[in-house]
Amino acid sequence: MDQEQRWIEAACQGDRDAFGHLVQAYQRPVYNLTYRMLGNAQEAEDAAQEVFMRVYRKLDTFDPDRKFSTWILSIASHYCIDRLRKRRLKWLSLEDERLPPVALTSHQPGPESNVIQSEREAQVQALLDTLSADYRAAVILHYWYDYSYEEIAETTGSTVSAIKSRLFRARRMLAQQLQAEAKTSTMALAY
Amino acid sequence: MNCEQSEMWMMEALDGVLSAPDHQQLTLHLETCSHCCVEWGALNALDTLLVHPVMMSPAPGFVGRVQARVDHFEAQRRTLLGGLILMGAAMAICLLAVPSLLGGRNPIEAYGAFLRGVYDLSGYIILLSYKLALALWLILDVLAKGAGIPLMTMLTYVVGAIMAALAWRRSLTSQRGAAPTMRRGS
Repeated sequence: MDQEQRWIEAACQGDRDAFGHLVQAYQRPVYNLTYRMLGNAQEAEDAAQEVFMRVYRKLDTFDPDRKFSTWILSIASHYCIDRLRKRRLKWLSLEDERLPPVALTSHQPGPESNVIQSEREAQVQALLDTLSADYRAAVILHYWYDYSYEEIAETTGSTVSAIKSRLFRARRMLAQQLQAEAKTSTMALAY
Repeated sequence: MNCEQSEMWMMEALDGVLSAPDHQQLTLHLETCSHCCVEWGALNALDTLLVHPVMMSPAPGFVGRVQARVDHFEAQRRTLLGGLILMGAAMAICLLAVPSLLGGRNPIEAYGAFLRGVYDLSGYIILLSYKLALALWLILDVLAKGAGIPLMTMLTYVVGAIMAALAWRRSLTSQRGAAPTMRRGS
């Protein structure tokens, strides 16, 4: 029995330290998914916390024959998709404390590379924000988690053919969006 | 090969699952079709952008914040359980006290009389509700006749107004969550 399986069993028995180990192990994958889906750090933090609360409440329903990572990311993606669908325009107070996202630091030295990386990250997130919830989830799970079509289908509760179709359309939409942005910046430079 | 087929093959090529002969055919098509060539360039640019994705991490102390929420959840659960036990005990004490309040009668008879009383009271409440509903219906009928519109039309307006008010109220309160979220620094 591996370490993760021991933590899961102990957490099911009420061992909160074991649950803490699970949170430690999966905080980055879950937070990254919620951040990429929801697009801002504050909501991502709230959503990630809620995901772990749902995991805590449903831990006794986890099927050990499934991969725990798939199960937890399934909860996260379903929650984020529901949240995106319910999202309404909110007024944000200027005094609200906003948690800054913490990215992996690049090994490249120098502020220029950090600026380039930040701009690239902003571009990636802006592209993701143009997609609907279902398409966004498929793209994130494919590129960030290297999931196969079957794994994405299992995580999102869909079929392989539906996932292939979503990824196909999402990539086409993103590529067209990227093309349009490139044309706009070329025209701006020309002037 | 048509453009629709070539689009699908482009996706397979990006996933690294396109066979060599199909890849050759795709390359030949791209040499002759400017539209597909541009699309292939855009898809490659997208893939280059996403090929080394950065994994975002939460702010420090995330594990602690989740644990605090778990502790809060468990405390609420214990409080609820304690409350239920207390309520059950209080009800049991009240039920035990009923015979003495009824003058020392046989407990089974006393409970029987008590339950008959509850049954009669329920019947009175149902009858009263029916009478009230009938009175409301008569009032609406008089109002509808006075306004010169059919009763069902008036009822539709009333129900529609109530539902609109409920939906507006729900939209005002929909952002209030049930469980607190822990912020950094709390």
